[in-house]
Amino acid sequence: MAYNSLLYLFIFLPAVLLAYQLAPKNFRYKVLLSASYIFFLSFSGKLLVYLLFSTLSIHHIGLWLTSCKKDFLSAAHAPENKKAEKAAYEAKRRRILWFGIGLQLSILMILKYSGFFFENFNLVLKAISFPRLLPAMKFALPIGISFYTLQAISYLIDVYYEKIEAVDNLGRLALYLAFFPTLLEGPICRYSQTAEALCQGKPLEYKNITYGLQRMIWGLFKKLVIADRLNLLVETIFDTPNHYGGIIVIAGAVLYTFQLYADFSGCIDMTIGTGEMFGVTIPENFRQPFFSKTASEFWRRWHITLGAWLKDYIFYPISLTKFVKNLGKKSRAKFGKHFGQIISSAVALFGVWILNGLWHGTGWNYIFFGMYYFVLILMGNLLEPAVERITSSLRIDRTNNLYRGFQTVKLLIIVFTGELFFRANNLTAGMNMFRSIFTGFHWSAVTDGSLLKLGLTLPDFIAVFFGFIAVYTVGVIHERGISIRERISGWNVFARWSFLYVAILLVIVLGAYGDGYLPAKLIYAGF
Amino acid sequence: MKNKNRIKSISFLTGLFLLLYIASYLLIPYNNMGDSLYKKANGILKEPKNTIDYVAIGDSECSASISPMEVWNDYGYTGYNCGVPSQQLQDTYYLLERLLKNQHPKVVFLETNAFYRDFKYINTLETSIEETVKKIFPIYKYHDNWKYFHFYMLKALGHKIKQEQITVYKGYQYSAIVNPYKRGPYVTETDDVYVIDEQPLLYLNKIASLCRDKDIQLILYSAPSPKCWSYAKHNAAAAFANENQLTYIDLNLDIDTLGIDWAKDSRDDGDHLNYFGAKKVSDYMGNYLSEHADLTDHRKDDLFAGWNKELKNYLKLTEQN
Repeated sequence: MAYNSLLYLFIFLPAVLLAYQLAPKNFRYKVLLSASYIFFLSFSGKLLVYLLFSTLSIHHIGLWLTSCKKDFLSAAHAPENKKAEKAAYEAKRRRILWFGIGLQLSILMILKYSGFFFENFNLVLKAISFPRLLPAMKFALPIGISFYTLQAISYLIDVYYEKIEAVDNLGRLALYLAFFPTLLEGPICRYSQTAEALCQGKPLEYKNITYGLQRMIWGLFKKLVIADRLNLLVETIFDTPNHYGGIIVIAGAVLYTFQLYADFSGCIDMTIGTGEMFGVTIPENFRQPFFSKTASEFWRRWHITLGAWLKDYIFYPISLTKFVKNLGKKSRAKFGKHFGQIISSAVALFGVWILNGLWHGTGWNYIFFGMYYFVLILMGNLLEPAVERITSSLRIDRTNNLYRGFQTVKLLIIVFTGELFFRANNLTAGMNMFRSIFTGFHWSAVTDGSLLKLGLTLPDFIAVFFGFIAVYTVGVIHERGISIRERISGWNVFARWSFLYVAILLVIVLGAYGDGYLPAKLIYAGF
Repeated sequence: MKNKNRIKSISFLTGLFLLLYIASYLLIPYNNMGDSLYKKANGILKEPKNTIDYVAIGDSECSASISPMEVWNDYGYTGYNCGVPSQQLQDTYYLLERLLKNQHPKVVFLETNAFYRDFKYINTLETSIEETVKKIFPIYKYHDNWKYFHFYMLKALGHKIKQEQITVYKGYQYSAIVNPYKRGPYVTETDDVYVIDEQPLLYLNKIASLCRDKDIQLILYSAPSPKCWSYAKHNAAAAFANENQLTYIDLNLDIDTLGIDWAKDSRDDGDHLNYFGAKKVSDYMGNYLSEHADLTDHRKDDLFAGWNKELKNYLKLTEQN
């Protein structure tokens, strides 16, 4: 029951909206929770037990952290012992937190990563002529585990740091973790962002429903017209990588990047649109990433909630460890302020990017992907003063359009290359494909019709091109801070309805679905 | 919701339904083909009524393994290959049900690879909803025909323009690519039985029941495929055939009789057969039909002249390789 399926759009969602509206205010969050579990069951069946375990464990541990604090505050402390008792209390809370995080991570590690680690461990054993010791294990993954585990951890850490209070009502916490629009592909919400609105039980509003539907139509357009159509070509190239080289591989990397963006951001549009219908503001996950100028800016605009999670729960905590602080101090003393800062931040950045890569999947290509951005961002930071000096000595205006165009092209090459490895079947395939760009490069691939033998016909390319133009135009308008939906709502009813009818017809007619198309999965749901 | 908003919503939806209904008629094709995976399989829907002697159905293992033009060339039996890549058994069932409204084949060959492709009740529900929507709004089914849209189709509303039918070689998925299978013998006997999942089994029973009701001989067959086939799967199909008194032809156990040469007869490392392998399987199946089914040789029948015409194109295509 993907967000773009008829079952979701015409049966499930309307039924949930109706049940929600008919339910008494205090019961509405229970309607959403039940719907979320039905949604989960439709994909993962009995694997619901893992989600329930995560919910119950963070609920209990959150309350444990709170009661620990209450106990400490209510106890009488002799002045001479107060410091020691406070240290013991803080250590206890830390242990509780680590226990909670450990529980969440251990489920994720066992289900998602154990097979990968055991396989590689066996390879090492084999290399040193040991018999294979570890069994090859593969577990069924519940949907959204990579997303809801991060939400669960953020909840525990936020309770620990007293940014939020531990929630007593189990149902409300369960809904925060399992809200059905965010289950498949996120975004990774914080408890403080969505929980209150989810449980408020606000009645449905006409404006919210129309705005939500408009956002969903836009998401469907991106998913069905661009992503699923490009899927035909992308699968052909990446599933038989040895058959292609040069321009075909470049086209594969470029078009996969756009497919991924259209797929993921389209799904997020549907998620946000669904949330909007219930009066819940789900955080944005994209902000025109291809308008970025540097790799680090790109990642502040692409999968924003993952980046923010890694920044808050990995980067800062690592940066604040004694080891990194001392390293920073020593490095600054030895290499100067700039290099000193770079060296200390490199440790935290490494943690962020290795986890970013691993979060996406269990292949060496994902680790390579993370390390690729680690090196690029680190180099960007490292070389920034040199670039500044060179451009100013050459009197190059870094704000002019030509320089910005150069930056955009540079960024696009970086992103396309990264996505080539990200999509490749494995790291070796990625390396071979990258090499084949140079060894198999022939301009004739553009003129001899090779591009039209990869699963897409000329009309397909025209439809995709039309989709690009639409996405680009909307991006430019959003970049200028204009709300398209607000503008449309100001039009007269004839213009407004005509626009919506055309939009719906375009999705239905130009969408790559139904007979003749293998159902294209939601890409990020696989992570 | 206020009354005004209710009226607005109802008006908007009414307008949308009308629009979809009208747009549907612009995209309903005249040849029922469309450029799609179903292009080949759906071709059977345009065959003249009750002219098909046998049907092969299943997933890509089916569409790549039996070439009806080979059988026609050797035996004069009319057949159609309705295999569709990655097909689930529920889709097989719906396609079979649809084609049997216009055809009454004596034999249906059901390739077994799709037996082991699991899907859930929710997929069944989704398919049922899709089938219903397709009936109400044909635009959902034929939307992809915008690629072939011409403005003269507007004029054609109400009276059909006959378009030339695209040659699809009766559903066979032709490929002359050779990508050998090199990992040696793959048949290792075992008593293990692959468990066919609940939903595929449900639709397998429905297919068997449909054929029984229509008095069609259902024959299960497994195309040669070292990559997809296993002895445990063989045991599962054999057990089902046994329970339902069906014939099961497992070509993987008869590779030598068939003369399959894995150095030449696979297009993708032992997953699917190429044209050279399919020719051998088609000869085998044609021979089987001649010995076990009471079919008529139509090669000299003027009503089937179109088959000979298509054969010429087919031979031209295959002899080039």
